[in-house]
Amino acid sequence: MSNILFHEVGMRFPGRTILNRVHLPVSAGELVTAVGPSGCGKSTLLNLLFGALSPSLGSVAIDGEEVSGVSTKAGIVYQDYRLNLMPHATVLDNVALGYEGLHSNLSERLLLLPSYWRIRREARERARALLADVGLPTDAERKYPHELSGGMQQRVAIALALITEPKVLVMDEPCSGLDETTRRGIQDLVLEKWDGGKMTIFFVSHDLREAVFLGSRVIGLSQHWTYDDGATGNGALVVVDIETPGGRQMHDQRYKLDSAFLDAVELVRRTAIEPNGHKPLKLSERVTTHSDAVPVEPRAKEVSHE
Amino acid sequence: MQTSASSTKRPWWKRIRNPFLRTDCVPTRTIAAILAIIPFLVLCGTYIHKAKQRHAASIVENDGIDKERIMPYPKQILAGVKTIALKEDMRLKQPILKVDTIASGKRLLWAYAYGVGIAVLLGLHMGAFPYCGAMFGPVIRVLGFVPPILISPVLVIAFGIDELPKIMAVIIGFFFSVTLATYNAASEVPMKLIQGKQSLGLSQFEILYRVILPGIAPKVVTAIRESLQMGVACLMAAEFLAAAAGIGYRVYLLKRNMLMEQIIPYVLWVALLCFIIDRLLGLWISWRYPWFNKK
Repeated sequence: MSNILFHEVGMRFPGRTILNRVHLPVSAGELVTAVGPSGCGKSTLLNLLFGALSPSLGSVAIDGEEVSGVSTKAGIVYQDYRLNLMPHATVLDNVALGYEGLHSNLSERLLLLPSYWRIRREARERARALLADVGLPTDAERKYPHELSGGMQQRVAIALALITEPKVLVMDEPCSGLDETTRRGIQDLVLEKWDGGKMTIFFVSHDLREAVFLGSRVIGLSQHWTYDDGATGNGALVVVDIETPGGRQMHDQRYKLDSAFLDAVELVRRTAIEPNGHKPLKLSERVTTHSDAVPVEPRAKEVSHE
Repeated sequence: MQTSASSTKRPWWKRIRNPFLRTDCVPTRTIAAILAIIPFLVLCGTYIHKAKQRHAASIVENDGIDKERIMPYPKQILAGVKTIALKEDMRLKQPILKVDTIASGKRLLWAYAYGVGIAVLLGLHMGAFPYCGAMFGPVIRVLGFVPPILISPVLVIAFGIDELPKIMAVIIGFFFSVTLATYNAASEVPMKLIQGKQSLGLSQFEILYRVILPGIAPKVVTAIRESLQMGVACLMAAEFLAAAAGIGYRVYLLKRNMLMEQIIPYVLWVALLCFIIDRLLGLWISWRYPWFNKK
C-alpha cells in the first residue's frame, strides 16, 4: 500500500495544455477512479503515475519518492490485451515472466545458472496460483492470449500486474469493450484484489456508474472551466473529488442503487461531464468532499501566458 | 417469395454471381487446386503452340530441315532432362545437375547463414532503439535502392573469382530488405507493451530478446522468405560472371551452345527448389508461430 501525490502537476504538449496544476494526494489503500470526457487528461494522469510520461510542471511521487520513469512500483492493466500480454507466449509464460524479471538478475538468466531454474520453477508455481486466484480455468494456462475471451485476457493481465506485488496498480479502462457480464466479473475481481484497502488502485474509466460503483474516491477531470471572473482556463483540473458509497460499501449490494449512489453519479455528471448546461464551470463551483482534496488555484499569470 | 419475384425480373446474365469479382466468395480446397493448375496449363499450351509455329517456320525456311533451337518440343526438353541428370561432370564424376545444385545450394546457405543474423540484429536494434534507427535507418534505405545485380561485377573485381564474391552478392541481394523488414516490425511493437514489461523489472536487453524478437520472429521469417527471390537472382548473376560450378554457371555455358532443351530444365529446377524452400518456410511459420496474424 502506498501514498501517491500528484503535486501541482502540469502537462503540456506543443500547442496544447492537457493538465493544469493538478494537485491530488491519494492515501494508501484508496481505490481512486478518474472520470471525465474524452481527451480531458485521465490517461495522461495515469501515464504520469505509471512513469510512462514526465510532467512538464510539478511532480508525481509514490511513497514520497518521485516517479522518474517506469518502475516496478506500479503495475499496469491496459484496455487492449495486446498491450498487456505478449502474443507469442502462453498465458503461464506471460505471467511467470514478471516474477522471473523481479526475482532473478540478468546474469542468472543469461547464463541459465541453477538459481535461475529454481526461480523459474517458483515463478511458474506462483503464476499458476495467481491465475487460479483471478478465476482462470487451469486448462487456459497453456493457451495463447488470442485464444482467450476478452474477460479472460483481462484476468490474465490483472494476474500479470499483480505478480510483482506492485505498490500501486494503475488500470486504464480495463472493462471497456467487454460485455455486461464479463465487465461485472472484472469489476468484482478488482474489488476483491483491493479488498477494502489492501492495495492502492488508480482506475481510469469513461463509465460514470462504473467509476462511482468501484471507487472509494472519485475524481472528475474537466477542461471545461473558467476563472471566477470569466477568464478562460487552460488544461484539465480536478473539478470534482468526492468520497463515494462505492467500493467496499457497494461490493455486496451491487444493484441496490440507493440514493447515495445515484446522488454521487449525478454530482459527478453535473460537475465534470456535463457542467451546468454546457456552460463552463467556475473554479469556485468545484466540488471537493474528500478530506485529502486540496484544490490548487491555477496561477492566472501562467494560464494567461498561453 | 419476394426474392424469387425480384430474381425473375432480372435478366439471367445479371443473376450470375461472378465469384472472381466477389470479396465474399472463398474457393474450397479442391476448387483452389483446380484454379491453381489452370494458369500452368495455359502457359504450357501457349508454349507448345508457339514452339510448333516456330518449328514449322524453320522447316519452311531451311528447306525441310528443322533448325529451331529457341523453343524445343517437350520431348526434346525431356531428353535434355535426361542429359543433365545423367551426364557426369568430368572433374567430379557425378551428374552435373547434382554438382551444380550442391554448389549453388552451398553458396545460398552460407550467404543466408552469414547475412541473416547480422541483418536481423541490425534491424532489431534499429527498431527498438531510436538512436540506432536514426543512425542506420537512412543509410540502409539508400543502399537498399542500389540494384544488387549491378554490384556483382564490382564484387568479382574486388574479391576475385573465389566463393566470396558470389556469397557476398547473395548477401547484398537480401540483406537490406531483411534488415528493413525487421526494423519496421520492431518499431511497430507497441511502446505500451514494452513499458508494461519494464514495470515487471525486465532489463532493456531482455525486452529486446524475450519480448520484441520472439514477437516479430514470424515477420522476420516472412521477410527471409520474400528475399529468397532476390537472393537467388543475385546468385545466378554472380555465377554467370565467374564460377566453376553452379546452376548460373551451367546455364551460362549452355547458353553459348544454344542448348535450350537443357537450359529450360535448369530454370524449372531452380523455380521448383525455390518453391519448395518457400513452402517449407511457410509451414514453419504456421507450425512454430500459431499465434501469428490472430486477432
